[in-house]
Formats: sequence, C-alpha cells, structure tokens
Amino acid sequence: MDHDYLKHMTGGIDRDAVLEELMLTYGRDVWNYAFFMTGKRETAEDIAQDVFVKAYQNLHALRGESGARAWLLKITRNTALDYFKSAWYRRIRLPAVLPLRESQMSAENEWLGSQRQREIWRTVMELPRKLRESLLLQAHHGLSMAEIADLLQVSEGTVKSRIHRARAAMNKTFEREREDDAERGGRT
Amino acid sequence: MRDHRDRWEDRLSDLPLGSGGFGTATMKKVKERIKMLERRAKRRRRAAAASVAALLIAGAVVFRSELAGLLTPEEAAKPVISETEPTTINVMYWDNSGFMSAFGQPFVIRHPSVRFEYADYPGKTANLFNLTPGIEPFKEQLLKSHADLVQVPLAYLPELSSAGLLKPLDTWMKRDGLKDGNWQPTVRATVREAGGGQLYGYAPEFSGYALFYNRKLFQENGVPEPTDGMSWDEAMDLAARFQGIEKGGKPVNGLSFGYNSTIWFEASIIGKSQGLRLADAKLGQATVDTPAWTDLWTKLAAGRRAGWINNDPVFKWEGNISMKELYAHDPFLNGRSAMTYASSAYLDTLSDAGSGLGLAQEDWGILAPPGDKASRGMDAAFEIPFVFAIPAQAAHADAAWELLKYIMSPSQANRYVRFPHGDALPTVAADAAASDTRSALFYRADADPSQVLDRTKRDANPVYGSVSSAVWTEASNRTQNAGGDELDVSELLQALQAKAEQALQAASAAGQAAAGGQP
Repeated sequence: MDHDYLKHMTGGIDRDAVLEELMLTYGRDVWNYAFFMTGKRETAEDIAQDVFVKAYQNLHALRGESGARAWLLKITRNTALDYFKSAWYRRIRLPAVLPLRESQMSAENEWLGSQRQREIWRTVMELPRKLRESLLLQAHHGLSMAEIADLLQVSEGTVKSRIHRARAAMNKTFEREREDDAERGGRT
Repeated sequence: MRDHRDRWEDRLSDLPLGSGGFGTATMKKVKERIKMLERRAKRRRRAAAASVAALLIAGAVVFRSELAGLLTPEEAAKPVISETEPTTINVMYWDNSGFMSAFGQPFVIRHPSVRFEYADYPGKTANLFNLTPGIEPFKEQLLKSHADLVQVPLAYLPELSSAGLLKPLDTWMKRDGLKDGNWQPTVRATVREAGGGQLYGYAPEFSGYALFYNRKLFQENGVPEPTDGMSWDEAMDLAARFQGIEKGGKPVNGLSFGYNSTIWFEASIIGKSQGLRLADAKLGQATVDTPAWTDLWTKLAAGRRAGWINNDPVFKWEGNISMKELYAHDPFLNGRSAMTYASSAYLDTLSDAGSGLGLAQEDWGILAPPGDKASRGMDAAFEIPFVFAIPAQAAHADAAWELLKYIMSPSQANRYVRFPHGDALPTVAADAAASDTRSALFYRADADPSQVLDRTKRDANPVYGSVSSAVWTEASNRTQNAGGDELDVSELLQALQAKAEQALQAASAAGQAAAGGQP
C-alpha cells in the first residue's frame, strides 16, 4: 500500500497541514532572510507572507528539492528581488539600511534587544546588500559555501570573497569605534 | 581590551533577531490570503469553466517551454537522502496517520524526496495503550514485513535485539558524531539495559510521576510542606493533617487523585509506585492478599472514610462533556486538595486549567514522587512505552537512520511539545523545558532500569494482563457503591486473590503461559 505523502499535497487537508508545518518550522528563517535583504520589518512581513502563499501554490515543486528550507529561501530571495525591482518599492523606499536617526529607531530599538546587540546588527545592516546577504546566510542561517553559491547563483569563490569583504568591513567599523571610544575615554 | 565587538560573528548566529517577526499573526494572514485566492479562483472557474479550459489548452501549447520551466523542480541545494530519486521508507507503527502527523510530515518537509509505505502493525487491536500483541506474533510480523523502521514495545526489545533481528545503532551514532547525553538519563540507561549494554533503539517519549502540592493550603493551615521523595506512609501522614479542615464551607482534602477517582484506581497506581504486583515473577501464584496490599487498601479506606483523601462521589454524565467541566471536579485544580499524585501529563492540565479554576501558577509546587521506603526519590512508575528500531533486514536502513536521527533531534522535541499527544514527554528536553524547573523534575527522574524493564515485560505479558484485568474489574464491581465505612478490606482482598488465581489457572489451562506468555 503506497501512502506517498506528497502525492496528496495537491489537494485536501494534507496540503494545509504541510503549509502549517512549513510556516512553523521555517517561518522565522524566511522572515529573517527577508529582513536581511530589505532592512525593513514591514517589507519582511509582506515578503514572508508572499513566500508562503507561493509555496502553497507550488507545493508540487517541493518534491524535486532536497530540502524545504533551501527551497523557501530561494523563493524568499526571488520575492525580495522582485520587491527591489518594483516601481512601488523604489518610490517609497527609505534609506533603511543606512544609519537611522534615533527618533526613527525607537520601535526597532526595543525589538532588537540590548544596546550591544543593536550595535552589531546595525553595523551588519549597513553593509552593502550583497556582502550582508552572504555573511548572514553563513553566520545566521548556517548555510555552507556551496549552499550559498547555489542560492545566489554565483561561484563559491565569489561567496568566499563576499564573506571575506563583509568580515573586513565589520572589523574595520568596530576598530574605528573602539578608537573613538578610547579617544573619548582619554578626554574625560 | 577585547569587548563584544570582537565576538560579533558569534553573536549573529544566536541573537534573537526577528524573534517577534514571524508568528501566529503572520501565519493567520497567509492562510486568509490563500483562502481568498482560492475563493476567487473558484468563482472564476464557475463563471468560465469551458473557456478557461480552452485557454489552458491553448496556453499550454503556446507556452509549453515556459510551463515546463515552471514545473521542473529546481535543483537540490544539499542532497541528504537522494537528490534525484525518490527514497521509500517502510514503517511499521500502530497508527499510520498518527505516524505521519507526529514524525513523517516534519521529516518530509526536510527531505521531500522521501515517500512512506506502511507495514501492518501486528495485532488487530493495537492501540496507544496496548502495543503488545505477544512476542511471537510480533516477531513473525517483523520478519514477514519489509519495514525499515519499526515501533517496538520496550518489553520486546531485549529478545528482538539478542535474536539479532535489529540493527545496533552505536556505530552509526559514532560515525555521525551523535551523543546520547541530552536524553533523559533513565530512558538512556533503560534502553541500553534492554539491549544488553548496546543501543538498539531510540525511545522518543517517556512518562513519570510526581507529587504536586498546593503551597498556599500548607501555609494557610500551618502544615509543613512535603519534601522530595517521601515514603507513601509519610505522604499519607502529612495528608491526614488536613482532616476536618474546611475552606469556604467545603472540606479540604490532604490528598486527591484527579477527577472521578476511585479507591481501586488509587490502590492500583500507588501499588505500582511501590513495586507491588498481582502475581509472582513466574506467574504461578497470585499475590493480591498480602500484608503490603492489605496495608495500602486499609490506609486508603481510612483516608477516604475520614475525608483526608478526597471521597467525592463518582461524577456521572451522559453525552458529551467538555474537559473544562471535568476539570471542575478535580479537587487539586480547585484549590481544595493539598496534594495530588499524578503523571507528567498533569503539567499540561495545570497549565490549561489551574489558574482558571483557582490554583494560580505560583501557588503549586512539584516534588519527586512518594514511593517505597527502600528506594526514596526513585520513580518506580516511570514508563517508556516503545522504541523506534531498524530491523536487521531493512532494505533502506540508511534512510531509516536519517529518519531516526530526525526523531532524536531537539527540533522534533520542540515540535512534540507544540503538538502534545498522549501523556508523555519527549526524551530530549524541548527548549521550553530547559527553563522550566517544574518539567525539569521529570528530566532528572531516577528509576532503576532493571525494574522499569521488568515491569514493562510483566505488563506486556498476556497472562499477567488477564490477571490484572480480572482483579481490577472485580475491585471496581465490589467498591463502586461502597464508601470507606462499608469496605471490608480483608474480605475484598480474599475475593481479589481468588479472581487472580482463577485467571492464572485459566491461562495455564489454555497453555498461554507456555506458548505466548513470556515476552
């Protein structure tokens, strides 16, 4: 008796159950990746919703994937890139990945946690998108070089180079801040 | 000087970024959008079914290459089981749809190329509480099946592993760098004991017992709080101190056992926690009318008569009844009982209903269960119902091992507590349990692995099962209308002893003890 599970995913209750499972298991991954790409919570929320609607409509395609996580991250990336391309996004886009004024950051402040965490994340979010994306796919999502290369459709060498440049930029920023701290400390 | 900025990369992996980002509200919105899209699609289909069909056919012809591109699966990012070919895992589990919802479904979304087939679980009456059709039918079915992963009652694990019917798992564990350090220690020790020191299966769940107590009632009445691992005599003496106490015009009990408890049920679960049995190890002699059972029944009858053990009449109802209504009859949840002896499942009950019924979360505590004086602090009622094992003849053993690895994972434990089923806790503590001192009690519960195994084997023995059924049915019949006053313990135990002996003789006559008896 064949109870091929995915065979039944094109209709009926199982499809809903799979959607539920996907959202419970990978919802946070999808949302975070969308946020890393766009730097905006509202956009990340919209993208995450779009991703799961698309996933639901294309569950049959999951059969050919080796894992739902990689598949969902791919959809997330494509959806985020579509957002970047849209005229609507270009028109309303705020410089969210650039330093925000303190008054603009109050809501995000609370959400991001402590001052130190905020400082690290703010620095990461200030990196150019391509560097930020590669770095976080490795450091936050735990993807291997090969997985990142496959997702971004670039060579592993390019991924390594981007991560190297991202690390260098982060270290440089922190080094500069440390020097500023030391200078301020010396004055007092 | 080094500071947090030197460790920035480590912090990226574990920062709670986005922890508030994706939650139930987003999930709800996704479902609403899908529903709306489907409604629209349905309307459109109704309005122009014929023309849509024609357009689809035409479109398929014109855009066949684009459609093919859309429908062609994207390339796999990381092959785990198979990148290109479907992998089939045959499972022998008592409930196919239950397996799918508890284990198969989350595994499939991680490994979409996996398909499941099912082998029939032996015994037509298998259910969650009766997974033991007898060792011989089980063995026969195991050999006949093409199962790659099997649900094996713990009682059968020693014989199946020593007969070479199951694959040892230690080599795989070592190869894949898996440790069993995060398993509940008694589960780990018992499963190894069942395999003669080797690992032949993974028990995904267990249940333990504890003494739950109402701090407020103890403080209000100047009674010292109970302590970890008391003997049953000590626990009952403490309960007796609540005799005659009232609260809000209603009597307060020292001890209770949930809603609709009966004296025979109480004797059964306390006897189990003291290691008392209904027949000797060889199943030749009934052991119901003994000093230990007499002492237990006498104390229960006295406690019920005096009211320090809850003696509310059994609540009868017709038709459907909500859990809320049933909970309303639990004296402990209502803040009317100082202590209750219950399984780990009671944690959920307290969390669901306690606060609503008058027992605030901060008002109750939990302790290692009372038991036999000789083994204080041990949980003699600790239970491990089954293990997952890989048959020696499994055709897809590697794939089954991948599935088993997932079943052992913390991800599955976290999922398990989100969708609890049955009374059990996951063997690997979920994240939520790590910070919860109350459920932590069960993750450090101690029991003698040999005793756990012996009891499990005894309970799985059909002869012992027939004795147990005869004794508790008779006990129920004889005590259902009797309060503590009318109960003649000596007469009752003589009658129960006679029933147990009849059951043993009947089994012996039927040749059960010889044929299918010993597991």
